[in-house]
Amino acid sequence: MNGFIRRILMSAIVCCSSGPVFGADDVSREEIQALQKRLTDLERQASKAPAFRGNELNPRLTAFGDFVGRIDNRPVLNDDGTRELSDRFNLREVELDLRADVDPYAKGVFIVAIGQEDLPTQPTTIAVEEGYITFTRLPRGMTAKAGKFKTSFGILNRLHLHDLPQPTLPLPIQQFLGEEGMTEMGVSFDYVTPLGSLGRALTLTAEAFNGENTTQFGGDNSRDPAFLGRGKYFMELDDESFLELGTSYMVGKRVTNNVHHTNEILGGDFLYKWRPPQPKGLWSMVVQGEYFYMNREDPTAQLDRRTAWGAYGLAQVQPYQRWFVGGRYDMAQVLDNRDRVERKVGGFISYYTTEFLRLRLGYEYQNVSGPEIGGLPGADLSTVYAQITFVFGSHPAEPYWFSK
Amino acid sequence: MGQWTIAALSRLFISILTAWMALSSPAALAEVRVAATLPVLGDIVRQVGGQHVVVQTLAKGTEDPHYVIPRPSLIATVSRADLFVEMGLQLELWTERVLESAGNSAVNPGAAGHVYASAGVPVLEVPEKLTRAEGDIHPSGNPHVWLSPLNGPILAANIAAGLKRVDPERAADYDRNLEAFSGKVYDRMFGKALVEKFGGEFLAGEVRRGTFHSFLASKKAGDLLGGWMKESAALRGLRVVSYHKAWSYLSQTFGLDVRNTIEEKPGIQPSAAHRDRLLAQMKSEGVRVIILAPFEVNTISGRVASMSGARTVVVPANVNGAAGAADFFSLFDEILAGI
Repeated sequence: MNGFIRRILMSAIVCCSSGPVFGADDVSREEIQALQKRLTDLERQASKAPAFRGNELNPRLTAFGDFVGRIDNRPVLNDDGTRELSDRFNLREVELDLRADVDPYAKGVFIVAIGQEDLPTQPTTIAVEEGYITFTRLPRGMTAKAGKFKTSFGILNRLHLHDLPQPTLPLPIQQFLGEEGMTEMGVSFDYVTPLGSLGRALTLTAEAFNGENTTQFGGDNSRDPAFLGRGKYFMELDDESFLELGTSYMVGKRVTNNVHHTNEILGGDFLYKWRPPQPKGLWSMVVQGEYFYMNREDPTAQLDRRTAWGAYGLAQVQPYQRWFVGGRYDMAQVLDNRDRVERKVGGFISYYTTEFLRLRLGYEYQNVSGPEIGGLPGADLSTVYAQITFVFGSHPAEPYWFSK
Repeated sequence: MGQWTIAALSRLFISILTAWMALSSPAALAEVRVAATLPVLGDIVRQVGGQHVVVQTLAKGTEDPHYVIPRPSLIATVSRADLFVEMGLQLELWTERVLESAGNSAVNPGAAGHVYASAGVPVLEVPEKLTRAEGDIHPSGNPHVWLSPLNGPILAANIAAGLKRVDPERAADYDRNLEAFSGKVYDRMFGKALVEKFGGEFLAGEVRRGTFHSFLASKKAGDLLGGWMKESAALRGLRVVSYHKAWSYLSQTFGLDVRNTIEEKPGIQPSAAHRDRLLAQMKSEGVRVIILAPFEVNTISGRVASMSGARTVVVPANVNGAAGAADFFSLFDEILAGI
């Protein structure tokens, strides 16, 4: 259509121009310039896309697929023990991401997860993984959201399963925040400010949410809120690298025999990323780690720990444009058994055909509930993963902490 | 005591409110703080804004503008900006996350402080079919519009309009600077004499329509030609291969003949079959030059260069993309001299 309009306009103007305008040298420059301007304006108008096609107001929709095949050295069951996960393929998750402006003051996001780590005869689980509204007309540097969201404790807890640099969440996150990390309902405020010179920034986060996390707080029936604070200092080290240092603190209540006990989790994290504009042997490198420390005020605890800690370290290099290789070491004290500690070590290699399709091969060795000091090791679990992650639709930009 | 406190608090509140309104009104801006995504945009903002602006550029000149990491330092910069300038045409997908996290509604798309610099540029290569099977296509067309000097005045006009929205008191200064910048672009492009005779905008239209040289011949005005168009005469019809489809506007302007790209499709690495076809094409068509941006120098482009025997030319694709490309004008000096 645009081409048609352009051709008509061009024909009309060429017809005009072939006569008096350019054919005669005595025509004033003002007339020529007026026609030039008119021509340019018409060309610009003709090049504009139609204003409305009918579906612009629909939310942007993105679909993520996470397909995993695994081979294990012993049987592995899902969370509630109803289905064996080992030695089989599994469409681990399908995620639908919908987002749109709600009005001039807010944007809305819904992320719906469809999972199938259950018996094939049972219905597939559908859950709102995240659903929140963000307010856009706050003072400069401040953002706020309300709804269900991934809490801002540390680095990797904010990522969805398909965004992780490895096939699984690190053990300390599973131990201290929940099997699939911590997603809660509440409100969150972020404030970002530059610090001094360009390239340094401080981000402060405050969150209040239901204390329903079963790992740390009161579970589904809890009426005690939980609170989280996080500070993150970011600095660009040079034109090729940056370092981020963060600390998180979370507090809530657990209820034992109708007594409400304080439960605190303290975290520290760092992220170093190097990515030169031109490859220098490697294309990029990421080193990151997180530390978790828990303190429970629960005098009735017998087997459970009053204090516990865990940590992981991750390193990844990019030897070629599309290839990423890395490894991770996890260690976490088991919260409900004061004599046990879990360790895991693993490696992975990922290949991105494009930013929309990733093929990954991973290996993880886990010493399940092995003794903390001395003694015989517990049962081992060795798993080889083959993972295909794909996305289609309107893919939003990747977050900066994303390891790629 | 209570009444006194309430009255004092009321006065204090009104004072703060008045001060805040005065400070936040556009007329009160001492300097307009501008965050520009690309160095080329930052440079045009400086040229149009003059001493009234403080510009911070988010991407580096040597960086691929498609893949900038939306770091907290960028977010913090945007959170304090009065004006945000991006190229648009879905080139900088990373700005969405930067803007969302910056919490600065004054510079969000649709607000007075937001500028899509490419608005109104006659866009090339708008895809007829939108599918990811065609690679990382840009639905609104090829977004590398700054790589033709002819689009500089349009980018500058959009930036000037943005500056006038957030700082209307200095509109006359911005208009004057815009006119000076556009005039300089056309003079550098065609030479002063030709611009004086026919006007820069008209000549730019002739170039875009592909009728510039026939027009010159018909008017017997070839002797008046100067600037980059004269200096680049040897480039007309020069057959080249590029890594990415980034040079379409440059080739439209200066007559370069980009025969193919090393990428199989936009953003897609070449398969062995594509590489073999490309090498055969380069041989049969006598393509002896491969144009690369600094961030495209890698093992893939190196292999194609060595297998084809073609000369690799690394030219800046942005301001500060090379030592000599310090501003919009020297960027094209460097590109044309390099090729």
